[in-house]
Amino acid sequence: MTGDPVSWAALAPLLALFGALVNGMFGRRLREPWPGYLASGVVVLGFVLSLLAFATFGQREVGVSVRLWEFLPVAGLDLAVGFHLDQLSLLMMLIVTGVGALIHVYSLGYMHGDGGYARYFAALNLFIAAMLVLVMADSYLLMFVGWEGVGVCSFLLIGFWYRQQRNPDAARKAFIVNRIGDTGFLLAMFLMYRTFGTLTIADVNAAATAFAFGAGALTSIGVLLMLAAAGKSAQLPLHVWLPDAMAGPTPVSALIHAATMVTAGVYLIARSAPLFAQSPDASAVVAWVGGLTALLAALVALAQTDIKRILAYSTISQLGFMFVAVGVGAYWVGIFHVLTHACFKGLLFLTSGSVIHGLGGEQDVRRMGGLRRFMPLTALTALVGTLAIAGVPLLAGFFSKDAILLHTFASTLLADHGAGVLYGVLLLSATLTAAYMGRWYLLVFEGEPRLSVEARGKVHESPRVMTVPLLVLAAASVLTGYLGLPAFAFPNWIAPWLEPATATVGFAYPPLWAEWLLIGAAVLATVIGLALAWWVYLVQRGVPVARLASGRLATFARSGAGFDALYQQAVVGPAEGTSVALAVLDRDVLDRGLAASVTTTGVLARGVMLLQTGLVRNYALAMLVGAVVLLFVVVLAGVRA
Amino acid sequence: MTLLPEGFIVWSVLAPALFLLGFALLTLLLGVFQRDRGFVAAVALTGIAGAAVFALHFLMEAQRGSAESGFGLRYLADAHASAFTLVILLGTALAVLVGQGTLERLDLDHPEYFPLLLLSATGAVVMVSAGDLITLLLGLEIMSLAVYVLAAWRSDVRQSQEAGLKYFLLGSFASALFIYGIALTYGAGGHFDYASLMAVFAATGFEAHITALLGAVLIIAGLGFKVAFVPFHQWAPDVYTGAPTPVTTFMAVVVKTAAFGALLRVAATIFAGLEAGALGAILPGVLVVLIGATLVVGNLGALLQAGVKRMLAYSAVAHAGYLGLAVVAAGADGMAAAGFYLAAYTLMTAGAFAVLTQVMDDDDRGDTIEHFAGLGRRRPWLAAAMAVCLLSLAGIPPFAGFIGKVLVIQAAITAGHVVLAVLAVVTSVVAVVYYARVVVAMYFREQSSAARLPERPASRSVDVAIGIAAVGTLLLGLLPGLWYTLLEQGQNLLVFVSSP
Amino acid sequence: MVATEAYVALSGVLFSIGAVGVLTRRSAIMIFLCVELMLNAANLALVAYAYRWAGTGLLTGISGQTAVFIILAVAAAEVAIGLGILVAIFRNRASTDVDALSEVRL
Repeated sequence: MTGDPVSWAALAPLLALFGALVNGMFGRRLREPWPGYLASGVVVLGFVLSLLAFATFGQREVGVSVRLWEFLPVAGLDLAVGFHLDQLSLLMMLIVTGVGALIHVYSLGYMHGDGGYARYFAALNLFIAAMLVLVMADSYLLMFVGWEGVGVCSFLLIGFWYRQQRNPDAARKAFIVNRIGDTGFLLAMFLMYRTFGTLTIADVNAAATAFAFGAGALTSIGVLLMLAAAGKSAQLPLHVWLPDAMAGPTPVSALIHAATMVTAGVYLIARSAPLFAQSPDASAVVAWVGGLTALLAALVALAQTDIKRILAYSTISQLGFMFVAVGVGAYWVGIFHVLTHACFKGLLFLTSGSVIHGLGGEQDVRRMGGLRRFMPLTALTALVGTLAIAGVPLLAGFFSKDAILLHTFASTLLADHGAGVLYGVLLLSATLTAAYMGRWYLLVFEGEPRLSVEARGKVHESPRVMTVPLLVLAAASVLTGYLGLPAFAFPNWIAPWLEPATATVGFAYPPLWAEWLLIGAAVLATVIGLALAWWVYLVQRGVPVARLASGRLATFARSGAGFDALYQQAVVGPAEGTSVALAVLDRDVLDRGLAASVTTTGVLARGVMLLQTGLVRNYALAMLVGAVVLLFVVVLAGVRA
Repeated sequence: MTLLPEGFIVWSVLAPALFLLGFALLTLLLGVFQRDRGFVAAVALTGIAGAAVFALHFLMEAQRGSAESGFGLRYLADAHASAFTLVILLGTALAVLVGQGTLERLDLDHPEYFPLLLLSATGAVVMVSAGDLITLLLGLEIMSLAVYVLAAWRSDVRQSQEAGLKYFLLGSFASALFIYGIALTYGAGGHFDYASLMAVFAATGFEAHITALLGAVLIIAGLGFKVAFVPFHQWAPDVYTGAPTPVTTFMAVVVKTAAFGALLRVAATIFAGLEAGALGAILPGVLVVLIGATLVVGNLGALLQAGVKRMLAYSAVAHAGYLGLAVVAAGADGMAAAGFYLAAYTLMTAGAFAVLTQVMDDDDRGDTIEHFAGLGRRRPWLAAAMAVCLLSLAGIPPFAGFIGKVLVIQAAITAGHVVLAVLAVVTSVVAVVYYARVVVAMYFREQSSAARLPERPASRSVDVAIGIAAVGTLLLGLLPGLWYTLLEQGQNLLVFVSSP
Repeated sequence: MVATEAYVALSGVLFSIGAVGVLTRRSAIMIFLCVELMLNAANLALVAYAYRWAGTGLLTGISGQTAVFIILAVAAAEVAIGLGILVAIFRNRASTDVDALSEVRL
């Protein structure tokens, strides 16, 4: 440790690890609030350290490197465990520890009385430690350690309530799908090592800058990194695990599966920005995967009924927006959206946790409604979150989403890769976002209560320890947007802050009037989406979609107590069919596709087992045949030569 | 008749092996008089520790650049030999601890366990120290004969009988292939010692390439049997399953370490000599095919197993594949990578088997996943140690197995075997599935009533073994430099003295 | 003067006969005898090669012949262990049929 306050931030992950160890080993012997206090304390301390580092970082050009210990002195690999603290990693640290601290506090109330109280906080602390390692690592290898670490914690926490069979299944699904992405990470590392001879992030980036623009090696590395990112950040076609991951406790969904871990993929791309800036092809893959995911997930979100699954698909869709941003080369915009999204999506998840908590475990939006009267504070904060994600002007989501749309429109990096079409896709997705989030809010908090009898008796506002984090996040959902006001007319703080840590890509910004026009288009999209939801679900009480359903989906409507038609056909007109079809595609084709590849492996494995007869003579035969074939090959090759 | 040159015989290099041999005889004698098995085990551990001190001394000497050898480069005590000797001794010590804690319970409280273990370890040490094919053969046989007996040891249990006889018959078959390979190599090169063979094969004007290659293939087959390369692997799952679990522990770690130690040395010398000459591309091709098949078959086989013991047996085959990456990259990089990988592998595999002995019943049965369900609640420490070992085996950071994989794959890439490296990465994804299954059962499932963990007093010596394994796995993962620097700085392998 | 190659060819034939025997015999004892045949094939090859190499230097020739003795000793040790295991199994099963040993699989 040096006297530089920035380098003190290196203690943050160690603090969290300490909390995890104490809670993991002695948690059972501690009485209830203490494991929670300890866990929250270390994360708050980590936030303070990050804030201190952030405040004292100043105008430095390069980050601060902290070497902890010489890890592996392999010739040519030279790995040390070291952290690199620069503008990008410090901002991510603030998000992780800040949102993390709030969610720890919230969990004090949410997990009150749970049998696995200490186990929960141990895993949550471990997650914070791993996530900090991920964002602070100065080499891809150490980043991979954090990458796997958050995966393991996510696995532990999704399956936290392991008594229900589907929870461990969801945990395993998440773990295995993530491993497919991890293969991409490993392969990318090998290719990097082969191409550049190093795995240190700064060196790789420096070497990539010196490489020929658009070189094949860069594209291969970039696509492999994107595979890794798609696994962790739930992008097509590896997104299937995230909706199932909602089986975990709601604060976990908020922290891991909305605010932090799932954004690791975006961070990975931004961290490797100089490499992607040199490879338009790889960037196009990133952007298009993101764009298509944003659209598809938004459509599917319209057809969901589980209060958390709607948000899960929404997260997938918003992550898609972030990938478009980093794909078109607007790295600061991607991270900006990570920041604002962490606030409003964390908020939305916590409000849904508050609702579930208040209703005694109810998660079906069809059996909610009118909750604003019972839970005013939750409803108010949820409204702020909804308007923020929908992109209502002057809230955080508006500024970050607008920046994504603008930079997609003005992209030069992807000028040959259909940036214009991508802009259209995003605008449509933004409309749908407003629509499904409007639907979500209206179904839960407005209209007539449709609660079950026992839920009606129990419904109550959540305790102070849960509502205070809601208020803080709601305030953040309004204010964080002002860090990145449109640069053409207002002061923008975040872009110049992040620029030195990422890469600079040129954009062909349109004239001033056109920029205002683009903003107008984005606002129009939001208004259309929200108005549609308002009209369908509040004014007409779902009648328009119910009438549409009277034919083919009538049975559906009846069986669902009159409300099933609503969620199945949330969008009027042709989008309805698409939405259902995509839900089917998502559930059947992609899930089955994954299952099929698992089955294929199983068949191969069975083939291997058939040879395992248990008979000595067959084994000897296999050995001899193996040896003879090899001998034969040798002789043949020898004679020919 | 030429007299042997001055200083030809250096007895001191034999010290680790002789020390083990002496203690093997001592424990044999003690076994007759001494009823207290704990005492005998302690004596055995003393012998292992003594041998380790000698090995450590040679390792330090090697790093200082003054590695020793005896019998004219036929018995080596350089960095590679000493490091692998240490790994072997670690595995043996863990097997002694596990055996001491479980054998009485399994009704196997015979006095010959410890002497046989030490004898086998002696052979293993000779194998990794050999600088000569005949020395290697002697070590191989000393090691194998003792293990054959141990595998068949529960002579009243059909499975164990079957395991012993299968292992013995196939093992002697493999030995025959190996010996014929030695004969052909001698026919081609006129020598048995690696250094001379390397020089002869690499020399210009060498003609008998095909004979030498045939010999090399048969040597690969013989050693490939011991390390369980496909298609010479099929004994492994059956024998590992049938043998008493403490013996399986020993076989899985020590036999594999010894065979790889020998194979790496042969690959770095004799094969390297052949590769330098004409037809040099054939031998690496042969190895790549075998190793690729091993990676695929081992991982797929493990995927389907219901029993954890058998799953670990297939995982041992799979890990032979990962270690194979170091063999194709044999040379200083590959040897150091394998030295690290095997230390990690010894810790995590012995740890997993040691936990297994605590879960299985007194009849050495009951290793299904069901038996692991809910272990996280009933025995949190045991489950945590198992989780560490399994996640490490799966190659998940920050455990030692991950670093090992990185090192061998890096070595393979440096040696130009990118396809094999990619295959290793892809198969390691499959591997996660079967290791994770056990972890999921331990933490996310309730104990099933049918598979109750037998109530029994915890055995302290097994606990010690599990503790060493779990802590070591974590430590090697976090501070790999501690061990790796010892391997890497001692690059002055003796056999390279006469390299062309 | 018989050429070295002829001896080696003979040893190869012996080796193959032994290997085929291992694959076809069901009795563990017969399998074991076939392995012995393979070992002796190797010994024959070694002796033949030793004779050839003796022309180039005394030590190279002698080392081949020494190897033969070592392999004989190894074979003897294998016999002792193998028969021990066989006897133990025979006591239990009254059979040395290796095809009966296929309970542990899959």
